[in-house]
Amino acid sequence: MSKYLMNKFIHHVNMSEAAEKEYKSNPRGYVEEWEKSEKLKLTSDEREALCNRDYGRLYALGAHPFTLWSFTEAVWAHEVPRDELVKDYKEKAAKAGYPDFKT
Amino acid sequence: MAEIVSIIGITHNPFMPRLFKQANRPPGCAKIIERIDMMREKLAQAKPDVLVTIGNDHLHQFFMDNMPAFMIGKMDTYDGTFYDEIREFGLPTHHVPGDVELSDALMEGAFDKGVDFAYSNELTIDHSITVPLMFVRPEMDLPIVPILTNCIAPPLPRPKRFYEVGQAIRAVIENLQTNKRIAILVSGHLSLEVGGPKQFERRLMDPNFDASAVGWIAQGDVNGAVNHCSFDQLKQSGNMTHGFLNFIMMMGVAKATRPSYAEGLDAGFPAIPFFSWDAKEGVAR
Repeated sequence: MSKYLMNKFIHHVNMSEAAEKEYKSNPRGYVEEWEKSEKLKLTSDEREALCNRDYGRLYALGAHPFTLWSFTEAVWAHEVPRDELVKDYKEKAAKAGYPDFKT
Repeated sequence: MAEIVSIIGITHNPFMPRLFKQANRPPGCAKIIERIDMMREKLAQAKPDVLVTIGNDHLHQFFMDNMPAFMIGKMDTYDGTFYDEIREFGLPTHHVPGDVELSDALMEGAFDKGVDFAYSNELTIDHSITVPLMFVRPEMDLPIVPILTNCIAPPLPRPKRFYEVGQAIRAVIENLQTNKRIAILVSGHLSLEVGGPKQFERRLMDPNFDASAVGWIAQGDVNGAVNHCSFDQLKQSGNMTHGFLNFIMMMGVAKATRPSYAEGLDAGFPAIPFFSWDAKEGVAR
């Protein structure tokens, strides 16, 4: 069920301005604190990908593509121009192909 | 007896409203706006009292902790939209009136037709409902009954079931003891990719699928549609092509009759769907 939990975190950050701000200011601290309040647990791979805002890895691990792009833009576009972000996201996604995103 | 006075199928592309306002908008926008204007006029001419709006929540209100296959909103006012859609797409918020009486009647009637809708008394609508309204009824003055499908979080209901649910909606409406003039506004996609390696490409994702899909609707070819639209088949045409399933439900509402208008517009974007069944051509029969 951890793929579900990884998606739940992405969804949570994507839907809330406050969560988005806190996560951007301290990704690792925010992920670890959030996970404590959850009954389910992330795998170490999933946790590291979330702590590093590593959208390429999250995509490869089966994050839902629709929400993942929205999340990626929300948590990176203040640091990376959107065109560059789109290009890099697509390159990383292309390497992973089409992972199963069913939870 | 209630009458279905119009069925319209249209895009819910959430980037379009902002794009249309840009001074340097891509040249293809003019054609899209022309089609939208045509659909808005068709809806106005049908003089509906209420809109049944069929779309799909995009992991906003519903998430994988609690994912209904098909659900009906039961509220007298709906808020749209969500924080992320305001941030990403620049979409405005809305308050849209609802028709609770019709929501209840559809819900109860569908049980008797073998369709068990989930329901919500606290539903916020996302771009799949608000964007089509912005396009064809920007006044947002008509009460709506939102019907949402799961075509985004697999496992998905089967294509045949989308068709059957559409048939049930039609049958229930035709048996309602009301004089309301009811229009059906459906939104969905043709081939489309979001969040994958081909996202944001300004071209038809899969021209062959788009042509086939428009053909199934234009010809009322239910077998063609339901036999080519499994989850795995649709993802070959783009990872979010599953939004086409809403249009299979639309075929059910239309009893697979031939539409007055059917097009997958190539305007330099992924194909933009436009479908209509106009009252003068027999939508009520």
